Amino acid sequence: MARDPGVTQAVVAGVAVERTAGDATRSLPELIFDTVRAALADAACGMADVDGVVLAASDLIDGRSLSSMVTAPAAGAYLRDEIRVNDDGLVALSLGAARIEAGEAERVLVAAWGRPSESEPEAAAARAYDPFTEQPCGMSDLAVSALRAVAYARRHGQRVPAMAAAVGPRVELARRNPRAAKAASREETPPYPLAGGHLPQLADTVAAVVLQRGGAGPRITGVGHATESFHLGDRDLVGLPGVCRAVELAMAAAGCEADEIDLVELGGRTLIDEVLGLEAIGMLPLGRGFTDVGAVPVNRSGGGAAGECAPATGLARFVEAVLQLQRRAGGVQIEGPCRRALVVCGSATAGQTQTAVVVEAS
Amino acid sequence: MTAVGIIGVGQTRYLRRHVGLSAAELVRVAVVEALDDAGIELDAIDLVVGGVAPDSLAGVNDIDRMAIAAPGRPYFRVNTGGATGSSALLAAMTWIRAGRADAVLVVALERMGQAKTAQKIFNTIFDPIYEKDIVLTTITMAALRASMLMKRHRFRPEQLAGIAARNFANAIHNPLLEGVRAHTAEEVLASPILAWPIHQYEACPISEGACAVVVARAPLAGSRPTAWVHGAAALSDTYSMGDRMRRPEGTLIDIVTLRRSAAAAYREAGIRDPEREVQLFELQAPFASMEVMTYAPLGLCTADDTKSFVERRLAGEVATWFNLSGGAQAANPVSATALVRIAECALQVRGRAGRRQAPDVHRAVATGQGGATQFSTVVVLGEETP
Repeated sequence: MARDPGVTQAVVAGVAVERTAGDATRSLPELIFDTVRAALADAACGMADVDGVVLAASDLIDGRSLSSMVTAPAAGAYLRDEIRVNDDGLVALSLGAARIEAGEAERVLVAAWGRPSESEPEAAAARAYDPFTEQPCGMSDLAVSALRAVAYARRHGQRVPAMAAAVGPRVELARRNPRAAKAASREETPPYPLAGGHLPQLADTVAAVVLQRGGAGPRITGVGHATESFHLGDRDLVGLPGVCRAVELAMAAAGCEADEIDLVELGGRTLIDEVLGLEAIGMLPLGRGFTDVGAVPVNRSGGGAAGECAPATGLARFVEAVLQLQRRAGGVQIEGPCRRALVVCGSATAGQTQTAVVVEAS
Repeated sequence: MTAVGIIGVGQTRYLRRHVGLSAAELVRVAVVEALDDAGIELDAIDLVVGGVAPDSLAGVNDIDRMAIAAPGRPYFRVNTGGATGSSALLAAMTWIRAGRADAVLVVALERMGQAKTAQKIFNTIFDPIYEKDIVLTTITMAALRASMLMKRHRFRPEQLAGIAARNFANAIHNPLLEGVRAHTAEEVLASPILAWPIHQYEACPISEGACAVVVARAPLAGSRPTAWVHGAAALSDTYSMGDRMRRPEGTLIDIVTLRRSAAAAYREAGIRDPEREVQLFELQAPFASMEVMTYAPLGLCTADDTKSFVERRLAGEVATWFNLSGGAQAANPVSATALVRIAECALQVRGRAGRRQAPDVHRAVATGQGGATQFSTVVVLGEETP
């Protein structure tokens, strides 16, 4: 449906992200508390100024059923309106923005986290596949990424080794990103034809954003959501129509075209998923995304090499984009103008649902 | 804010275990019925919100992706434990009020019958170091509260059993429930003790099923039978029960989150005297003792008068209806139960509750409760356009 052009847009008042390689001195609630406090400080407000809390977290990654029982209060949800989505952090951001657009809240705190140092994200994701037809075949999100790599190579006549060309540049960006995790918390074994460099650096990740009605700060001008079939056989694993549809909706809501985007942060399970997504939405040249750069800076944060964990990936990337708009990105700051950013990320299973957000400098 | 109403309701039967239907098939039954009740096609739906609580109960992670997420339509999942269904409805309302949707389909699914021992899984919601090994579960947690309630108000066991018996008396009129029998208070007290003072018939059963609700704004809402949302609120509390024993805001049995949510929802709905202005309460209270704890937070009595209100209820002196569906004690599909409460209120307000329809239900209140009695929601539905 077409959106009312007069709708109130949520303003980003404060952001924070922390990626660590397994900090054994702090519990998960402490990690969450520290990052939320940093976001509130960035917004120059306290929890007393916040009307509601929107969280993105997964019991399967937190390692505890209904984990928000113990984590939500750490994110400030004490005697306060709170809701938790079991999706990527960008979904929580979208819902938080909707609360402001709806006039239900003046200020909303959004937080997302994942702690791979104490969990098995890949194993949890694998058990979401069909228990009769897919799990016995060893299907997992990494396996889907490998299937994508093979399908991509076949579709574009590429050799798999060429896909390693993009590894070096993103590792270099991650090295320059002051917010990147300093060491991997867990090594993963890549299924063929993925190589180690394609995998993300799994890091304990907490991201938090304070949204408010009015005031100074970047504005969320467009949001798009899309859903593909659960069944892999029904999906275009290379063309990624869900990613394309979410981006199309977000840019339509923001009233902008692709050539008006100054930065893209797109999250995926591996470098393969990132590049295929960026190609699908036209931000990298089709069939040459691993070797060529496009006209628009993409994944300046270092992408998965900077450290991340579902379901915090999308919100962490959003924080990176906001810092770019505010010229606070440090060693990975874009030199040219950066007024409008597009952030994209998927949720389980293998990116079945996708969310895209357009955020613009004030 | 934009007026929002419920225009369609669909529910499966609620059984201990659905042997013949897969998760997706359960969802299909509920969704087809809800769309049919609303008189619209799936094409009219702008967003689907799924409600599934702990994954471990179903045995397949993220089971909603296979069973609920509709390709081509925006989708996300909410998980706030027992309050999941009502939280999902609130998210749908937000989407509509933000101008992002005209109609939203909310679907909550529970497959806990697939778990061999649900209480072992519920044991994993508690602290793995300090609480897990003392066999804290949702039942033993409720028992701690129930004993605190009995001590504070000097309840006799037959009074809590009497509340359970009234729910069973309603449940036998609900065709969605299978094998439910009426139990007298004496029979409730004769049932095995699960964790003192809670008897088996004072506690909810294991239940599977799906519930779907279509939420919309005008012109879809209002142009067909609509249960309008007059007020809604949600609040979360600390997890730690020890921190709630004596705190000034409210103790463990005061359910401060429910009290404040009700106050906010009533304020929005313009309700000053809930006993007179609300004809029906559908309570997400899986235990009889839990139901008793909700009366004061819902403004039906003061905390000190809770016992006398219970006595009035048991004597038939309270005109307000409670749990005409049988309530969560008759069927408690955890992920869906809070949405079921809302669905039942919507059916009553729209005059479509069939054999369990009560006369003159102009306004109804549904509650949701999740976590360690820490997530509360209150939704006020009414027949008049707000």
